[in-house]
Amino acid sequence: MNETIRNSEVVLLLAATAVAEIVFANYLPAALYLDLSLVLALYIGWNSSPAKGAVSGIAFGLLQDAISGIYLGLNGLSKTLMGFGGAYLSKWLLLEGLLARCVLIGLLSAVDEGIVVGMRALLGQTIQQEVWLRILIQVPVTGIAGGVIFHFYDRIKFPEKNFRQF
Amino acid sequence: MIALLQRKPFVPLAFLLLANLLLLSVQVRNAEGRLLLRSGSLLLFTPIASTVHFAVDGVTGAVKQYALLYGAQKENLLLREENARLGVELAQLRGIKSLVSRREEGPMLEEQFLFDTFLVPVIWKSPPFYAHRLVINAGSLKGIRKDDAVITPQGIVGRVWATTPFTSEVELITNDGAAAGAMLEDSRLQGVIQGDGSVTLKWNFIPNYESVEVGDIVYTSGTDRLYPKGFPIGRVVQSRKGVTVYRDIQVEPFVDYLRLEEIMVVRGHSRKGEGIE
Repeated sequence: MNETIRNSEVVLLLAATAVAEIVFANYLPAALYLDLSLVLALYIGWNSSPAKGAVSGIAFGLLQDAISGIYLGLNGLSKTLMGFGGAYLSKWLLLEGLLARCVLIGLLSAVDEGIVVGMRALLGQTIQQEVWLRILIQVPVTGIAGGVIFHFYDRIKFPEKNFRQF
Repeated sequence: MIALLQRKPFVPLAFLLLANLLLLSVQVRNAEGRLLLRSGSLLLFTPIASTVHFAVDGVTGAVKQYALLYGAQKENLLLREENARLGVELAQLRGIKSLVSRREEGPMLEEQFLFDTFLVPVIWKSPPFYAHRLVINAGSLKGIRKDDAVITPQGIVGRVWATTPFTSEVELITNDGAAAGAMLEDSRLQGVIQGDGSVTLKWNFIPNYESVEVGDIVYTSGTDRLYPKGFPIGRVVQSRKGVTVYRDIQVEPFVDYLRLEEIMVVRGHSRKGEGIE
């Protein structure tokens, strides 16, 4: 796939994500079940190359770590893998349908959280019981919202494309 | 270069993963290095947080001040009553202070119970499921230092974890690894209260033969030299014999950390013994 996401667009998305995550954390905690950083890193990866997906992944991941106040590099590592893996999978799988996208984003969200929890356990941090409940909610929320965000972002970016109906 | 990256995408992936692992290892091995990194990321993101706080506060403040005035008179009345009551309490405390200062142990008691605080707005909270931290709108230029205690009138909040010139990061007492010396008011039974990242606190090192009842109130003991002595922490919500020699006790904090808008920093209490003040 050709690179359709410009670097300036990535920087804008990063800034928008920073503002959104700060607003969510302070004024709308329920919205934190949507892993916006993962969704956007995946979108950039799917519409460019695995290398750019990995670079976007590390940028969005480190941003999330800095805002969350945890070790810098936890989300950086997981989202580097997700950005790269997502871009790689998009070359092998047909991901035009909304349902397929929702399922794949949900699965990648589960893997992403699994890596973060695993790394935290390796670093000796306590893993609370509530983490599993949060992941159970976060995976479908991120999957569905991610699929819808992809759909509408595609419509804005590629208006000439013939989109499938919901 | 770009063509090379596209032909061999695993090369940048390996490089980025290595960079992440190095970044993590620097933070885990070196406590001072971690603080530098946290301070750096704080410096980078606090302008965004301050702008968001300023914008949201401006809008909600304008609405409250100019549009929603129907509760102002009632609030004013309540504040006047509270002000009068606090004035009387202040006069009583001044009397007690003058009595205490005449006694031999007066300076020691003053050091423990009298401290200087100032009110600071909260501008940014970490998502609670990652870390229990928040950022306040005052930093080293206002005299805030690492390990200064952070409280509200309801109870303790946590301690200053890192500072920049204009902002400070506060580690809440509920954060994984945070701790404070704690005691019961009546029996003076002492232990260590610890956060584990959940909404409740664990009260450790209380022997099984000691009596701690659900509903008992836990206060700071001052033994950590961070928090002022006698400040409320929370209420015991679970107390049972543990599998080791210590009881299994859970304490629900009095402060609702999700709804904190302003906190008070205790300036210099943690440095009193070091002659820094």
